[in-house]
Amino acid sequence: MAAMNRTFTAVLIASTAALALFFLLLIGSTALELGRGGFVSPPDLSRIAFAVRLSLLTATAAAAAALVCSIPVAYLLARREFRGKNLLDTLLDLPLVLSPIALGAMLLVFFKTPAGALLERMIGPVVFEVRGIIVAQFCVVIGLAIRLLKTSFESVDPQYEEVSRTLGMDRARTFFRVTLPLARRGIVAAFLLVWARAIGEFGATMTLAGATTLKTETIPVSIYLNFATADIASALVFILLLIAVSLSLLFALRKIGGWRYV
Amino acid sequence: MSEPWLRVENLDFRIGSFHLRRVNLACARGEYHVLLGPTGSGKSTLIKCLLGLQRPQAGRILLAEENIGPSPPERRGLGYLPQHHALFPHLDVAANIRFGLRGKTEAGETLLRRLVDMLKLEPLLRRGVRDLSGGERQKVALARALAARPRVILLDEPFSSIDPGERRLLWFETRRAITELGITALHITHDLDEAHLLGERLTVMITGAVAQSGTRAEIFTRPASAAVARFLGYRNIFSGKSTPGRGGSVLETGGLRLVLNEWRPAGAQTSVCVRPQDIKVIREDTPVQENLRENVFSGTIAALYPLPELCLLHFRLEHSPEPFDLELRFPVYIRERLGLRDGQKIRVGIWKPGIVLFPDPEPGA
Repeated sequence: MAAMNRTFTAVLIASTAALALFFLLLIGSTALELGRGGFVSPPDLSRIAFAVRLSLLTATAAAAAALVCSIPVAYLLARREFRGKNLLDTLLDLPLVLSPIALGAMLLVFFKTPAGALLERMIGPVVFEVRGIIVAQFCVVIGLAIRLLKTSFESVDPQYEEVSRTLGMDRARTFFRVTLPLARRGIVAAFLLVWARAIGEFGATMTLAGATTLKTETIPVSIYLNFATADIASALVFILLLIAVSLSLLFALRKIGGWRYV
Repeated sequence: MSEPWLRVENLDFRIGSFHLRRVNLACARGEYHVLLGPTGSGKSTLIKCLLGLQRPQAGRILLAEENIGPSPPERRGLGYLPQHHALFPHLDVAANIRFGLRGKTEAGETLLRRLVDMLKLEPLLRRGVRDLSGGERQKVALARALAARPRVILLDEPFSSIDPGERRLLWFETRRAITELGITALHITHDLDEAHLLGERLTVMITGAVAQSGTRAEIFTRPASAAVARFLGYRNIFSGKSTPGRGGSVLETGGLRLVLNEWRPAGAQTSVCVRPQDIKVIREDTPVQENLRENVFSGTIAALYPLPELCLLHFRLEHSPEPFDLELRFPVYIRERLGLRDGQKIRVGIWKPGIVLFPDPEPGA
């Protein structure tokens, strides 16, 4: 029996170690490759700065918009039972399962329709513009935002809301004074995860906003453009940048205790 | 009972296979009313219907003659102390208590100070709620509910998560705070001691319906049905056909021949209950009291169960095939005084005025 236990533990540890080693090798080989040089042209710092700035800006805007839009939806799904809830739930899951490039193509088609044109009149030009990056990232991450926030709201015991109502607070005040503060860790964690997903988004962005150097060039678009021109070393700089940003975020996520949502 | 302050009329609520059936209940203004019943009898569901957290399918809820049924929970004027207290974990004790106060009014601040003094909460005010003891949490939740000045406070098993030693003290403190403020209370529990101690009037609920309503004495001395008697822990429940006797109708059941304190038609199906404290062990050296004389039985002590505050005795009639036929309950010192021991031959007498005749015999009895 003891030997069985030891073997079982050994299998667990070996599997974990093998997977961790694989990812470390991936990062290591990228760094080594970069160390060998081989830049087609010297790294253009202003282009790197542009891509980083644009990525941070668009990902923050998309994540914030996704969070604001998904909070009421997630709360509704977490707390109410209604006819067609399953159908709505499935529809909102679509961005999670749909390939980003397909989503980007659908957005491109949508902005050619009268409804899309109306939306463009309201928020400004989208197709092949920076706004297009935000819209594309928003559409890719909104499903994830709803899922994560729904879990956060579900983890708040409804009894707190019931007590708040009996203490004279209506639904809205109960939501802002009780539910939202109690779900705050989950909401922050959701924002970080959604942000991380947005910053790495490529397929939908590329299709809707295009890949124009120093215009719609986010970090992933930059990686693509550098690979397209066979400037592997420059592409690797962007890859390592993306890794650094992602790992810092995931680390921050664990620090704030939102790890259980990951 | 004076004019009801809170009245529930024919309330009907069905959820899944559970059904609250035509519940009627009335609490007078300032009364401490206990809603008593076994787990799963629908007490908490009824409270949720009263609070507006569940929508009953039929019936009315009247508070001071106003139908509050259509009002949302925040407009009903009903305070709520839930079973696990539900203190807001993101607020400290003071913020929890102030939660239901609208702004800083003189009346609100005075009430707050009074509650803090009454419940001795001053040392806790700046503390977080996570590290409070069960009793402290209960008092903070009570202060929070009372600070909102409810017209009725509904307490849902508020002591169930508190250690027994601390519980008894909290019973007194809770009731004192509520009655001093003149607030009507509807307190639900399945604990018989708690119900007996706190309730001026009680309502017993069994399987989704009100089984009996009345004063403490009425409920505990005259249970209205076998189901209520069983819930109160009375095990001496007998059924059979009554026959005419000299001092009252006679009920013959098993080896017992009980002379009742009422007349029933000959051959009528009859159910009775005898409380364990209404059966006395008869000392051989003293004359049998008049009220016991007609129902004296000989047998042996099947078992003795000494509990901290009382002693239970299981009595078996001579030649009875049952493990025991009667259960007796008496103060612990009686056991010592009479030198009672397992297997001993004794005589017991049933106090005739204490025999409870149920108006409706149990189905199939």
